[in-house]
Amino acid sequence: MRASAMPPAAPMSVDIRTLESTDPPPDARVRSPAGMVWARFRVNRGGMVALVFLVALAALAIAAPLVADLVGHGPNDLYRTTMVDIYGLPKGPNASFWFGADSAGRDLFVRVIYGARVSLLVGVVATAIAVVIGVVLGLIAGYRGGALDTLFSRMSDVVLAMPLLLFAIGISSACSTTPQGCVAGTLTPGVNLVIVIIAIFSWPAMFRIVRATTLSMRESTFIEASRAIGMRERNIMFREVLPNLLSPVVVYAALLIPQSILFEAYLSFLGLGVPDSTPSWGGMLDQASQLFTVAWWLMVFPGIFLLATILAFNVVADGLRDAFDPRASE
Amino acid sequence: MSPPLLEIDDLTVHFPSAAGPVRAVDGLSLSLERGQTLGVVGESGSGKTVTFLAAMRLLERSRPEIHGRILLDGVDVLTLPAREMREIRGPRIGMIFQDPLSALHPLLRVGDQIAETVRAHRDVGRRDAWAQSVAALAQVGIPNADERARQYPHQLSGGMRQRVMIAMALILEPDLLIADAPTTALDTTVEAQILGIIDDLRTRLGIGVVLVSHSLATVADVADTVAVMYAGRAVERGPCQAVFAHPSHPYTWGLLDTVPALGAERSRLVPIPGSPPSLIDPPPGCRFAPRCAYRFDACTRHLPELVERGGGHADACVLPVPGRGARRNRLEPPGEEAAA
Repeated sequence: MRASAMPPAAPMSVDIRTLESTDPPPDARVRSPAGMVWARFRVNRGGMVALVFLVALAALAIAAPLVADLVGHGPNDLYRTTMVDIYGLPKGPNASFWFGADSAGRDLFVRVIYGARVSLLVGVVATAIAVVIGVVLGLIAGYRGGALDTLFSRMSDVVLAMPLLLFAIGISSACSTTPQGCVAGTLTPGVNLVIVIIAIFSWPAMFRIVRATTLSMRESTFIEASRAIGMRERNIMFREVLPNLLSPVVVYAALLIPQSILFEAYLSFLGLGVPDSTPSWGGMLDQASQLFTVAWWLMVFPGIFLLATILAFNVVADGLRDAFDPRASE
Repeated sequence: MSPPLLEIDDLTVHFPSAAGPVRAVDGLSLSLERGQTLGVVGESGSGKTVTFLAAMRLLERSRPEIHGRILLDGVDVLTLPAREMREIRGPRIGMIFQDPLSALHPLLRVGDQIAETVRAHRDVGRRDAWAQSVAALAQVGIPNADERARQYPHQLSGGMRQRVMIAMALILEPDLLIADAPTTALDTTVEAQILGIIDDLRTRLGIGVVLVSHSLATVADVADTVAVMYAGRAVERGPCQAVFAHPSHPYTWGLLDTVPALGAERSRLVPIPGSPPSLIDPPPGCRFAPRCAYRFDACTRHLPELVERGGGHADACVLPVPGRGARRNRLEPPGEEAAA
C-alpha cells in the first residue's frame, strides 16, 4: 500500500562526492572573447592588409620628424629658389622632393607625412570623445529610462537635426577670430577646435546604438540574475551591460574614425580647420584645387593618402564586424 | 517561538494590462522553516515564479500592484527601502534561475562572475574573491575548479552551468535559497545530481530551500513540504509524504496522473483536460472548476479557501472527500455524463 503511494519516478538521492564529471575535459587553452575575435579577424586577408597599412601609416606619422630629418626638409621649410619657378609655380617630383613641392616651395612628401598626424589624431581623438559621450549617455538612458532617457534622447535628436556643416563653419569661424578662441579660452583655434566640433556632431549616432542595445540587454536573464545577487545598478551597467556593447561600439567606432578624418578634411578644405602651418591633407587639397591643372602632384599625393586611409579604416571596420559576428557575413 | 524563515501571507500580485489587471498571484500564503525544503509545484502561469520574484523584489520594472506580506525572519521585504533590499539579495536570499546559460553573463569568465557576487557585498580583494569563487565551485562538485573558473559559460555543459549558478547563489551563505525550476533545462541524470547537490548543501549549511518546479516528481524526493499552485492560488499544501500519499485536491490528482509511474498498473498517462484559465477574468468560484471532473454547483458559486484537514495538510476544495485518493488511481473519475 505504502509503496505504491510513494511518488513515482522520484530522482535518486545523490552523494556529490561520487559525482565524476561526464563533461569533456577543459580546453587546453581558454580563449577570451577578444582572442576569438582576433583569431577570426586574422584570417581576413583584406582586413589584415588594411590593418598593416594603418599601422605603417601611424608609425610614419609618429616618426614624421625622423622622416623630415632623413629627407633633409622640414614641413615648413621654404625652397622658393629651387622648387618654385619664376612664374611662382611649384616644381614637380624629383630625386630630392619625392612628391614635388607646393606653391610656397615646401616639400610635399614631408607635409603629407605630417598630414597623417593631424588626420589620425583628429580621427582617433574625436571618435574617442564621441564614443565616451555616446556610451555613457546611451547606457544611462537605456538602462535607467525615464526622465534621463527623454533628456538624452531629445539632446541627440536636436544635434542630429542641426545642419552640420553650417554649424561647424559657424562655430569654427566664431572661435577662430582671436587666438584666445571661445568658451573662456578653452577652445583655442586649431586641432582642438576641430576635434571638439567633430565630437559634438558624432556622438548621437553612437548614443542611439548603445541605447537600443542596452534596452534589449536590460531584460535579459543574466541582468536579472545580477540584480538577484544584489549588485549595484551602476556596477550592473558598467560591468554586465557594457561588455555586451563591445561589438557594436568597436565596429561603429571604426567607422566613425574615417568619417571624422573626412570631416577634418572638409573643414580644412574650407579653410576652417587647422592653420596652414600645420600640414593637413584637407588643407593641401584646398591649395591643390587652384593649381592642379599645372601641378597635378598637389592633388594626387594627399588625395591618395586620404583615400587609402579612409578605405583602410572602412575595410578594417568591415572585417571587425565579420569577426564579431561570423554569421552576419554568410 | 521564532518566526519562520520565510512566510508569505495573503500575497496578491496584479500586473496592469490594457484588458484589466492580470491576477498572477491571488491570495497566496506559504511558509518555510530553516533547514527545510518547500516544493512549489504548478503548471506554467500558475504564479510560482512571480511569487518568488516578488520576494526578491525583482518585479518592480513591470509595475505590479502587490498586496500582502512577504516576511523573511519576520521582516516584510516588500516595505524595505531599495538600499536595504540590495543587502537582502545575495547575503540573505540566493536565487537560481531556470536556464543557467541565459542567467550567466556570456562574456565573463564564470569565476569572475562568482567573485563579482562576493565583491558586491564584501570588502575583499580581487585575489581573495577569486579564491573564494574557486572554492565555491569545488564545493558544488566541479572537478578542476581552478581551471573551470577560468572558462566562459559556453564552454561548460548544462549541468556545470547550473552548478556555477548554485555556487554563485550560495557563496554569500544566504539563509534562503530560491531555486526556480533549476533542472528544467537539464536531462534527468543531471537533474538528479543537481537536486542532490542542493539537498546536500541544505543539510550542510542548514538553509531553507524553495524548490519551484512544474513537476511533482522533481520535488518528491527532496521537499519537506509541498504547495501545489493553480491560477495564482495554492490549492493544496502539506507535508510531502501526506500530499503524495493522500492527495486531496483533484488538481493534484491530475498532476500525479501526468507523471510516468514505474510499476503502476495503469500504463497510460492522463492529461488534465482543458487549459489554465484567464488570469484577467478568472472563472467564478473555484479556479479549477471548469477543468475538474468532480465539480458540482457549489464549485462555481464561491472560491474555496485553503482548509486544514489535519497534520498540516490543507486543501482548497469545496468537496473534501475523507480518505479519497489514498491510492491515487483507485478513485476513477465519474463518466462523461456525470461530468457534463
